[in-house]
Amino acid sequence: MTFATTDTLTKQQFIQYYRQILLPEVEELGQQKLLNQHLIIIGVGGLGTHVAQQLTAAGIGHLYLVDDDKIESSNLPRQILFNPESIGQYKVSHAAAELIKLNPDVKVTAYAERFSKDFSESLFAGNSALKQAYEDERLILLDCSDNMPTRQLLNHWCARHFIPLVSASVSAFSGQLMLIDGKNTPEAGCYQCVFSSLDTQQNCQSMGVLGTAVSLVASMQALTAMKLVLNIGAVDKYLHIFDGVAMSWHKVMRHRDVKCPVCRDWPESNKTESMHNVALTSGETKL
Amino acid sequence: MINVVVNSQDHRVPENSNLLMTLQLLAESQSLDLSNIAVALNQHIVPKSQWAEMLCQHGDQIDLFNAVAGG
Repeated sequence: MTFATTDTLTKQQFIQYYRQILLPEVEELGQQKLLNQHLIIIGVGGLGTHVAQQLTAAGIGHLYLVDDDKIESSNLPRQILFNPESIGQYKVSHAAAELIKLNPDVKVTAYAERFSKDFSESLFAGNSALKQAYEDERLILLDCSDNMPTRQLLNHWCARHFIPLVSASVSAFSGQLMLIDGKNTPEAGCYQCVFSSLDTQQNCQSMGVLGTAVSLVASMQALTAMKLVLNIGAVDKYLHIFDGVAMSWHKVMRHRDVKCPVCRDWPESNKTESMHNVALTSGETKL
Repeated sequence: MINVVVNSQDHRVPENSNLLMTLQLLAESQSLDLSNIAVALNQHIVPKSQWAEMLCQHGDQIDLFNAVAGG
């Protein structure tokens, strides 16, 4: 069985996406790629609402929203798809309705569920279009979750299936971003190669957060996903670190942990880079 | 002794210290939880399993990062 993909743009789509199509890195073919892309967004909170809105506007064709939370008033300062009248509704349901209004080209599927081992194992079986996108390598997952156990679980699932994972996080004035891609950059390792713990105090509930900082990190996350779909720029093997007080981004190269229980079975890469004898620059976001 | 820069602050550590030894010294003096951090040496993340294999050199820059989990 095959699933239809977009191989031409309508006149309306050409007009709508013209500013993107104008870019030589995008053109008409790139816009078609975006319209044929499938993206799973785990967590429809601060990061999730921002990336969903931006990617919907850009014409990412298929979005899958996963979150079992309902909207609360404390969400409103940073979760931009929600309003006072939506309080009490499932986040994914209300977000899906808003996104479809924003861009009817986009197909949005809402799962009012927590991402769990059981959920992940049933995902492809329950959605043949998503399974096809996975087999065609048109699937990316965006980690917009708010806790370490979910982040580790997502990393594990993506690593096992070689699904590119764009992981972003934010709390207080700090943000982190990394692209994990076991097929194209195994030498950079996975999320667990960088952070192996199941616990951290660095979350929005305990530390607080500003919506503007969330928006910045989310924009970088959405841009990372779009660059990946469109094959723009060099492959990204960094941990990007945002410091909202210093107003700066800093990045450090990631390396696979040969003993990592998640990705140690990924194919070997002969690319190595020295940790010594590299230009020293000052760090910015630290303990 | 050699000088290393940890989160922009100078620290003196014994010659031939590896990264793990340096971090353990810091953990003692700064109540640092080593199980919960990522470590970059000269802008490269060093996986935890390699901390003991990485010899510190004079002038090395070491940056410590907590995981941020919020979304």
